[in-house]
Amino acid sequence: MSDAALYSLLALLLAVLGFAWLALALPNHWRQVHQGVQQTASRQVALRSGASLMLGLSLVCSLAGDSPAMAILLWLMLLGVATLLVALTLSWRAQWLAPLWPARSQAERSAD
Amino acid sequence: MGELHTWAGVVLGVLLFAVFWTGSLSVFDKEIDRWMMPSTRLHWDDSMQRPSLDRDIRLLLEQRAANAPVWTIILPLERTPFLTLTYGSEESRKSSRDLFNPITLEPLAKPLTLGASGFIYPFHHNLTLRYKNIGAWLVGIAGMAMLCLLVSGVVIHRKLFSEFFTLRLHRAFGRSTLDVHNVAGVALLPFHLLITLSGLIVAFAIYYPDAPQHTYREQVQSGVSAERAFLGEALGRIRLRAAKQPGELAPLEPMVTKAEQYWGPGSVYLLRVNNPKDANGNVLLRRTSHSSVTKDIDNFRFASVSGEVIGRFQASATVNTWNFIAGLHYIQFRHDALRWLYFLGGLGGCVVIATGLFFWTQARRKKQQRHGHLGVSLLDTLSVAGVCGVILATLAFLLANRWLPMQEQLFGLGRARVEILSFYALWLVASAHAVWRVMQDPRLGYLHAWREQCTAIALLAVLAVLANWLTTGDHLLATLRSGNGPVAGTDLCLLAAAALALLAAHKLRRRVPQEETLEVAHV
Repeated sequence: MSDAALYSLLALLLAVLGFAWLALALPNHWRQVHQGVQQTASRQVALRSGASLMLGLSLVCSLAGDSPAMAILLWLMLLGVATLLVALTLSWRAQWLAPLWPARSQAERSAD
Repeated sequence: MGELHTWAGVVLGVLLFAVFWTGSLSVFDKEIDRWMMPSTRLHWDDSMQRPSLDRDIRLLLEQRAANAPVWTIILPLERTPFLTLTYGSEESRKSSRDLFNPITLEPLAKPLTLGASGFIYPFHHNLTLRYKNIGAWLVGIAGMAMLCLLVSGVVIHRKLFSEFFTLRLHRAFGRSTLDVHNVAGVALLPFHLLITLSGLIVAFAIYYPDAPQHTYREQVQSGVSAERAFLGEALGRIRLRAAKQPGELAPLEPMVTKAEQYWGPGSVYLLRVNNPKDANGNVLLRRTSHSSVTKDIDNFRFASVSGEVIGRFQASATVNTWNFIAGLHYIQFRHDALRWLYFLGGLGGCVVIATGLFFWTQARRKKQQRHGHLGVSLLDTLSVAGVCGVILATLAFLLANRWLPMQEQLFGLGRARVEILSFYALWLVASAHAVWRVMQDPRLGYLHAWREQCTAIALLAVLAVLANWLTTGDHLLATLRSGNGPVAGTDLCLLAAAALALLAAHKLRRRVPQEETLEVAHV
């Protein structure tokens, strides 16, 4: 695989992670993924900051692989693909997103 | 804003779907061309030795068109892996075109088709209605409508952020349709904005035909037409008069070497010799723009007799801004990942438009089933004819290309014309079928129309893959093994389309009895 293709793939993966965290920051998707765990304001902030960082890193990766104009174009397209991938995962296998930001439910915690 | 979104969508949705569909296919027009023109399924890459201009290509030109006023040489490139020679006549600059194997220089069998780049792509920007640019204006109006739809869509989206990722596919059809429309619309918004806006900007000369008249008033007074003055100054397209004195054409190879000193090795792809046998002839060289988004229109011009440089055109910063926007739209640079993303993004646009149409009819369906609703029936018909119809028409174009006998003339028409007639004929049949189904049963006819046309899409797509195998011997396993990307890719996309269409038909089949019981319940 060429360097440029590798960077594009990495940019896509980071964008998917970024959008997955943005989705988890939304209360309804958090409930879908982690049943029975309350979403907290501080966790929302952490998720959103992490997401911004990942989306920024995704842009850095695509800039590393291509000339600036193509890299920005590629990044915009990858953001769209990542959004759709996260939306489809949430609709089909929401629990798959759980490992991206693990959380223990109240019941598990009290069992300890 | 809601009204704007609804009415722009209802009135122009079907036209927009056709433009987005043909635009998506145009991203891969040269690849589809290889599928449709088997004699051009060759391989070329930059490491290969270009044919000699002065020894080999000059000879071909002298043999075939010694007296032509214009010779155009298009050197082989990766996506067009053959040598193209066109010979202008007095009347038109591109009267006849021959293709050659880039290594042996044997003439290739005439494709006898316009291919995707000669039909699907023009359809995308002018609907092939060239008279007084009617088609281009219709596409322009649809493009403006698309911009309105994109902006108003964002404004009327009640939960843009809280439902950014919400896709409730298991819920009722109306709900899931709207979710698909919203999520795909928002995710692809940057691409759709860019592609629609750039599409309008690239065609500025059609939408502002009089712009040069005002800018070049002085030149007009001195007897040059405003268009000519504009083309010369902004785009480097000038016409030099012949001296009507015989002259000998200097060697071409040194001109290419000279230009490539500035542009980089292997960057010249086109040479146009104007008046090759005239003392005042000239040779124009153009370069590829593979490595930049900006479409490069710079050129070198040499005197044909002395071989001296007589001009080097470099586009101004303003023109290059336009070239950047044009390059963004035409995607002629080398980037496979982006090409696929453009293709998928375009198809995503088709999904957004189609789901928008479904939502409109679906939202009014209950009322229609009780009292009858002419608008719903009309839009049911239009959306079947506009969505399935154009896909079926495209498949008819591909099938006609593979099944019609390879003769210049068929039924008294050129073979290429018969292919295009097949496209429109099947579109007409599909539309008639949709009208018939909806008129026969205004309540459930639309479901039958969708289901039957989806089945037809699956059938024709598989037949096209088979036709390619039977007429050329290039079946999927062979093309995949030999790394023939364009042909294998086209076949795989056809099979994917068939699978999706079958899935849709299957879901629709299960839906018909559900709707029937619902209807009984209402009674």
